[in-house]
Amino acid sequence: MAEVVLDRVSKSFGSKRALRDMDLTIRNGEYLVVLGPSGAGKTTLLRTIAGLLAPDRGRVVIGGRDVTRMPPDARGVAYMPQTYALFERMTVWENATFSPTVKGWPKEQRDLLAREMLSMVRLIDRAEAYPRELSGGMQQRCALARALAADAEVLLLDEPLRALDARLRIELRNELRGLIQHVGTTTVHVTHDQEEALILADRIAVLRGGQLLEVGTAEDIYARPSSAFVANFLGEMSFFEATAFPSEDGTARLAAGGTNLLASARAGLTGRVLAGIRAESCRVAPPDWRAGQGVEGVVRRRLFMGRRISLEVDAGELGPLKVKPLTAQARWVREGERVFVVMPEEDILLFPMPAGGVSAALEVE
Amino acid sequence: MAAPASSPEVNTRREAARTPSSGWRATLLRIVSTRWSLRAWYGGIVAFFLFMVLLPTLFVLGYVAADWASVKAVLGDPAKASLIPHALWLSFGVALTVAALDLLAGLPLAWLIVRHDFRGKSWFNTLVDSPLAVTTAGLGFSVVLFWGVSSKITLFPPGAVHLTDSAFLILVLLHLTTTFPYMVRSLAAILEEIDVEYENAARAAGASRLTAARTITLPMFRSGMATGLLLVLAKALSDTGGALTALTLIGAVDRNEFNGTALIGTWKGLAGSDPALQPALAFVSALMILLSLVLLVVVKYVAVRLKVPLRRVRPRLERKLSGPPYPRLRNVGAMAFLVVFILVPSFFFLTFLAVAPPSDVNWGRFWNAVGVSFLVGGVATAIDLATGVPLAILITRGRFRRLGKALDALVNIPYIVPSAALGISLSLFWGSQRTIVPSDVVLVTFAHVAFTFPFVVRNAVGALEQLDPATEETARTLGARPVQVFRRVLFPAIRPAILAGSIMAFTRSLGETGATQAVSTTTETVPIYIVNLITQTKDYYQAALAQLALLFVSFAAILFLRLVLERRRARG
Amino acid sequence: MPRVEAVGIRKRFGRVTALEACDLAVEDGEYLAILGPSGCGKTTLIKILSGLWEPTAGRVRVDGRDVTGVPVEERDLGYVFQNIVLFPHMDVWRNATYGPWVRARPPPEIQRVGREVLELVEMLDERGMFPSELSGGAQQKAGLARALANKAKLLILDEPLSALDTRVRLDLRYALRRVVKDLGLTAIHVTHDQEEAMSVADRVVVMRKGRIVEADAPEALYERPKDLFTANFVGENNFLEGSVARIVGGWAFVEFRNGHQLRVRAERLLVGDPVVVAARPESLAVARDGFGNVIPGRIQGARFLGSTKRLIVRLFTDDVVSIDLPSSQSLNTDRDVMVSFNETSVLVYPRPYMGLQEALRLE
Repeated sequence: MAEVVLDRVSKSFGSKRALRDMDLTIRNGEYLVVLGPSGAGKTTLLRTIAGLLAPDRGRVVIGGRDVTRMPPDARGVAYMPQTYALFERMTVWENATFSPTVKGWPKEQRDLLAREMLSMVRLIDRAEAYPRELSGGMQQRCALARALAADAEVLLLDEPLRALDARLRIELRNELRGLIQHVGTTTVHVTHDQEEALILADRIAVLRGGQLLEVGTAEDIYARPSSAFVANFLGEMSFFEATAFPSEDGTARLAAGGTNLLASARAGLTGRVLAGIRAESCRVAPPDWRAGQGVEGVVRRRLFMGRRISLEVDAGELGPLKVKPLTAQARWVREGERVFVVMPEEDILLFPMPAGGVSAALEVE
Repeated sequence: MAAPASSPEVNTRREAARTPSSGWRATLLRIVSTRWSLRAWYGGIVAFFLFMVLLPTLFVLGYVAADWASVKAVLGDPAKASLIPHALWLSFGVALTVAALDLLAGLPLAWLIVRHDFRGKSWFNTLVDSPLAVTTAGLGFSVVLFWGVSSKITLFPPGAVHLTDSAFLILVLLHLTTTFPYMVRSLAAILEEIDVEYENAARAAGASRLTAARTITLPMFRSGMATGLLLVLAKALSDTGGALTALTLIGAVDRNEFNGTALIGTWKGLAGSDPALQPALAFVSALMILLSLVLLVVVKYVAVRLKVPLRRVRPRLERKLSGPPYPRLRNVGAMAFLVVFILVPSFFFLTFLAVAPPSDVNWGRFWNAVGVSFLVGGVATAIDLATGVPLAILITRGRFRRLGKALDALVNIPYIVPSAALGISLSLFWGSQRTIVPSDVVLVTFAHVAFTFPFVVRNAVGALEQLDPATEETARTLGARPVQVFRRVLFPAIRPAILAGSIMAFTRSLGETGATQAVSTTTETVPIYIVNLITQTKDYYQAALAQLALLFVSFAAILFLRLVLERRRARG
Repeated sequence: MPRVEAVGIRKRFGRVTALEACDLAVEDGEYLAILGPSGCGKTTLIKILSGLWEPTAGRVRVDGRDVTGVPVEERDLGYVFQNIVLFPHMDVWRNATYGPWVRARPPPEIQRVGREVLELVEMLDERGMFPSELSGGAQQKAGLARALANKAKLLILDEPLSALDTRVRLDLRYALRRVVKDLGLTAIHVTHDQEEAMSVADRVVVMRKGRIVEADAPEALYERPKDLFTANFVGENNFLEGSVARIVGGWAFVEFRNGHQLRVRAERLLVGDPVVVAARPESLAVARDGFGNVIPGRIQGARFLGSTKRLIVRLFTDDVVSIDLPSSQSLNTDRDVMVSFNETSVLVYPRPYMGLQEALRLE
């Protein structure tokens, strides 16, 4: 395993700037998840580290060596693309032993490593099968074993779970973390799914339009996002415009659409601000039973999602609010009813008003 | 964050892997993988293509331009000049007519093969391809036997139709048999690639099967149709053996009626005694090359952009045509066409063997011809493989996309240019270079390399384009150098396509008459042997027998080729 | 009368049985989701319902009429395809109006319908663009417009959102339901995503290996799944294997490894029955003391999930469970805790004869 440093890396394809002046350090043995919408440059980033793309400017440093001009086979990275790219004409075993074979390892050690990796992903009894005979989840595990058997310093995973069924994704992502932790390789995992990022990452790097918006632990980014986009990408948010007045104890007093609210997170902004609160942080209560600060509204939309219920509440001047309380809590809510949306002060985030307008600031496609 | 929890064996392994491997293999690998080695290799391949294939093919154009005076002198001679326009008309007119007929009849047949599943489908596919096993000279004989009116054949087997002795018609009927399998194969290949879900989407929106096919599937077909058309035109234009035998048998040659390749073939035979024919030969060849290049451009770049009007929809009528009995009628019609116009005429010569009195067969000469054919074909195919596959890789995976695209377009030239004309050009190019080209057989081999080269390249390019580049990229990141990526990942994946390409190249070489004859009057390959038997010796029985023997030999050769490549796979 | 009915549908491809005795009834105006893992036969089933394929056995009825064997072009329905399959050589307008055009409707009508459906999916401005120029979400909206243009009352959707990014999927889910309900259509929506199925549908049918396992309204399916597979497939669940030790009053005591016990409702249970107890992560909690329905265990790990925290605990029964806690609760790894089970939401199933792992397998 090794540390990976990207030093002011830029890459353009014609007029499209895929990576802009990227500065990123991935620590030794870290599991970093690069999170962002489609087209944000995540795959370009991965391919640049792998050596499949040469940056227009900047350096890539792996384990202290400047690898910017080195071909992929000399960098000591293992790359797993979205489609897995398993060698269709080789068996599972041959796929797993591919890397040590081409690197010239002696047979005994090669077999030992392949056996260890295939056992770890629980595919050892399918070693003689061909990829086309395997199910989706098994193919993914085979690709993973092949990458791990490369004994690389850095593991690069491009949306490794995307091709799988939704439920299988949930099951395999728990496994994925355990496997890679066991081997201890520095890992860069790219995804657009924020739940996946939260479960797997030691740190998360948020990318948008080729730019690195923020890097930090899940707790840090979740509680103290640097921008409205990052906040919204990491967990559905409702935004509304407000005027903030400072008060002595550090909390901000907000006036928004006829309601007064307190916000304790990131006090320090005054004047016109963009306030936001995560849908999952809100709770609902019957209109006459106020259990905290908040606003009243009419439920316009109700979707049952299992553990939670997704509501859209028309809060009058505050606009539509997205509320996702736990089902246990909000079972009684029906479409068309009036509810009181509880907005705890520690969960209200404040941002400066974005210049180009709110929807442009949050756009994903 | 977890500490690296690997077992001690893994750690020792890691250390072992850090020390570079030794031995001559590793050193060789390192040398071959350097950037300069790769560049030299690719440079050599491109140079080979340009100087051994492309330049010789187009040389005659320059020759004619340079020696215009002699050409003018020839054109002044009405006996020779008058033959040329009619020859060009017969060549190109027939080729275009045949292409149109092939498309019309081939489409329903291709549809049948791809969209329907029936037992014995692989046998049916082999049946459709079977005329390819017969040499064009043999097909010329067989077609005239079935359709033609000929004073030269004294005994016609029962079932002969005696339709016509018009050169145009007979050539059309002949080339239906030489080209139809190519058209069906091309169309079927594209149809397979079009996802049937598009038709399903159209039908779900209310379109009958016919409407869905013509408004959705057919427009998506277009670029594929161009490939099929090119293949067919190339084959029809190139044929010499078939034209020579057919035109001789119906007496067209006696009437001084030739098509382009027959003209070249005949004049080349006479050029030994009449040196004035040399510039005439060059002129006709140059003309044919030019016209076929124009055809190439038209088909590839113009036809694809043509917009077929499909504004009006007649739901009731189209629904009616989509339902019984019309699809069955269509299928029966396609099958009938296949049998009556393709299969029976192709193999009718077998009936001749059954009814005609046997004659003495010079087996020695036959086996000698087979030996020459196989030598030339084998060596040419081997050279094609060694140079064509790297060129294909350069075209599809090379760093300069524009170079790749240019090369891809240029590879089509030796393919569409009539091989007889190509032969003339080649012999002019190498003619004086007796040091490099010591003997006629070597020159013939060069010629065969030129027109079989595209088969291997195009098949390899097709297969490479279908591969997910991510597979090779992943292999590189796993530590494989480019040579290793080729050997372990690329080659196994494209091997079936390369095998198909080599078989096509080999059989094309086996069946070639025009180029061989244009380059050397003394080398006797099997097709030339058969043509001579028909046009000079007039021993039709021996010709038919030789053709039958060749059928078996080709079949055995293809089987052998398949076996060899399959066994290497099992070992490697 | 149900709008669409499938009776005894069976489908074989050579030696492979894709569907086995499927019975389904979809009511008029109902939004039905067919949910299952890849290869369970859900796409085969709707291809048969729509008339794209014919069943090997069984009948399909629409509005009481037997339509088995009637090809799709003679049926009156809209179909949204999995890989969208917009016609690549036609722009959005021509794709959307393909249906009425192919039925030779008069041009003014085609104009009107085209505008209507494109406005409905908010793609009117993009009507001159070609599919290759559109994003995934936009393509799918165009596909939906095409499916609605024939004004059919039945809409079939084959994994319409699977190819899209998470964010786009969430937005389109509600748009789909809204369009279907506003137009009063009957919809059959196939998906492998259980969250998607529950959020759009009035009723969800769960399929596995060619059979229908269970069908119910989303909330009932989530809270009281009748089948063990459903309990695992729809949402996450923890499973503990044990047997009934004793029954007192309306309660049964299930004993697990190492002697630990839980109290559950005794409905139809007998002493000695081998059972599987299922408890969802959100129905488990960390108790302060040993009283109540608890099993002790040791914390193996914790993950921050945003507003909740996921705790992994190895119970002293040697089972590993996941617990969802509010983020505010902070606990250290390697600590011993008491995990409390909510007896009202815990479910009990007979132990499957093929083994728990096999019964729950997703592939």
